[in-house]
Amino acid sequence: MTSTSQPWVEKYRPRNINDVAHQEEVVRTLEKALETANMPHMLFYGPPGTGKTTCALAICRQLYGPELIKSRVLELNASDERGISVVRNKIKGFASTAVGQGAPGYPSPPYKILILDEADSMTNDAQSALRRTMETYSKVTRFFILCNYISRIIEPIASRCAKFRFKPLGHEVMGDRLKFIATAEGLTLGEGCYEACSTHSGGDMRKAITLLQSAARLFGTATITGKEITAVAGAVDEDQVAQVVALCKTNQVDGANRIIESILKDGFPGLQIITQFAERVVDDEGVSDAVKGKICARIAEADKALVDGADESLQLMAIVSTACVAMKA
Amino acid sequence: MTEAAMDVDGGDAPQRQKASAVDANDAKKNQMWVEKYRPSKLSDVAAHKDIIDTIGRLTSQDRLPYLLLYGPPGTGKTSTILAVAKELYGPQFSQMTLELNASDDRGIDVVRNEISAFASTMRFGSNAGFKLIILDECDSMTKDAQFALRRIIEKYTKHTRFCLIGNYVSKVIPALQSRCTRFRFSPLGPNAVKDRVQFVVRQENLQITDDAIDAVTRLGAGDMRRTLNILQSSFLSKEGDGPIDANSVYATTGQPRPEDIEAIAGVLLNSNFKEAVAKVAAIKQERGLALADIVRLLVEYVFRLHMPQLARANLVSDMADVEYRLAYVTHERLQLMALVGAFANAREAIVAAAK
Repeated sequence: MTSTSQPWVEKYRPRNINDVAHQEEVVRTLEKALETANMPHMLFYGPPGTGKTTCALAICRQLYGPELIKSRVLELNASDERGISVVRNKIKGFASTAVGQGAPGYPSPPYKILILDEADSMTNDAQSALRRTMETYSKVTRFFILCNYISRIIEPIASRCAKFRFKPLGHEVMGDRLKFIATAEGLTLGEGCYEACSTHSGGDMRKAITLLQSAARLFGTATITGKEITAVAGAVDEDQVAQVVALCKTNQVDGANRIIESILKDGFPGLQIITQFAERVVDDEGVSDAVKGKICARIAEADKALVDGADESLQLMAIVSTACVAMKA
Repeated sequence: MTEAAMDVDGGDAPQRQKASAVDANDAKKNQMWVEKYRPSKLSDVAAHKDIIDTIGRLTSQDRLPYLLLYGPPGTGKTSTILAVAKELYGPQFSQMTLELNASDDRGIDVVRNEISAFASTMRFGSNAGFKLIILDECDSMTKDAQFALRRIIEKYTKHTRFCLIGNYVSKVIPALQSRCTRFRFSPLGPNAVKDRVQFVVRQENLQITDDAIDAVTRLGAGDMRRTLNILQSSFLSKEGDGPIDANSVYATTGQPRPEDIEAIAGVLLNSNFKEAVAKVAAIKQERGLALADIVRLLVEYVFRLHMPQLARANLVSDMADVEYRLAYVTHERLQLMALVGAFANAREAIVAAAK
């Protein structure tokens, strides 16, 4: 594969745990693990694009080197079948085997590592079958459990691991990394680019890099500014959202709904519209706090409803209607 | 030819022995603290003195009944029964016990074949009169398998004892429950946890402040295993040479410090809507906190505040809604706005009550 066609996300994935940005506690723990070759089972959780998989793969590479990693590390993610039978056979089989010789030049501690990526998609039965396996074979196997939502991991598993939360990345950290990539790719980042990247990605490094690459590919210019990033980010035009809020204030439900409908027809996702509407309402000085509270409570409910698979346009109309009623008083 | 081969073998042997000794040493060093400090004697089990004493007395008098140990994770259920087995059998431990857990297939076939085969055979040459079958995590056994167990349990009383372990007693069928002596393992009290933590700290020669020990104990919430894991990860992630302090413990676990919660509550109760959203988001970002954790701890704080009862009732109900929605993969920022909204309503109610 030529380097130009490779996604930047993969091309610039940190190879070393020191290069992982913004997760100091985890990095320090893993560094010490490199020195002493000692660590507990790990549970990494946090939003997407914060470096969980990167950290796990980097530490394995540094512990075992490129050759030994093939026999010492097993990575299973949601694309692999991970029902209870896999836990009983494949995982237990891997976990129970003894380890061989270490590789020269690497710490290669006397245990294997089993990475369970996207573990929150494992069934509860499969997770409970893991419990004793994790303890019985702790001498020869360490588990890395990676997930977005800790609430989906059953308590007995969580209690067996050292838990680390991966934080969403802040503006500066993200800016540094983007600058590094831009320099390597021969791009200049113009005005407002960092801000646009970090607002639209919401602290997700992977998304920010993808945005940058899409903008570079789409416009083909050597300079990328905030405007281009916003264009590829799929954000709704602020003017349209402002219009909806203004119509709500004057209680024109029909007009507001018509605009919402047309935004939806343009193919914008419902959650994006809701988020921008919410930001707009919160920032509005002319709306009282009590009214904001009412509208935000309805928005939060709609958010949950969308997760459960509710209809986008109905939920949006409900929000707009609530806003109209609340702002009337 | 053969002689030469033997010679080579002979020369190799001591070297190999040395290598394995180093490995064993390494293995000890590499062990997780949770396993390293698992109690090997009944008297070492950290808490539940009454249960431990009762079981110890029954064991020494050779009158062990069928046991059903249940309770939340990390409270010493498996440790207790493993310690009992070690005291009973010593080196014969592995022949005299059968340990099955959820990682083993435990359908009705296993109950019919493996368990009943193990239970029905007599063992000679042992001081203890009976064998022990430990069914760990028995709440995840199928109903059918549990039903099949009923008669087996009764049939082999003479030379077999069963011990069932589970988190949820409600998932064990009543027919099995009534055949066992039940012991509930409640979460450990802070003093018992602290004693054990201090023991580990001494063994590992850790530098740690008293505040940090308190923090570890508090975050562990009565779960010994979780407590030790927090201690080990705080030790691994600490910066420089200084002792482990409370701040680094909170930072490692990603849990809000009490100061953070106070700061957030202050913002929520005093700032206007727009400012509150911005400030709380900033604190969240800086300290890397999850909104769900914040809400959970804020509730405790709200109950300590002085405010009209009705306002508090509404506020807590709203916060519960936010927490519920957060458990279902919702948008943090939208939920944060809802939380700010809940406090805005509460503020209004407080003002109204003051008039």
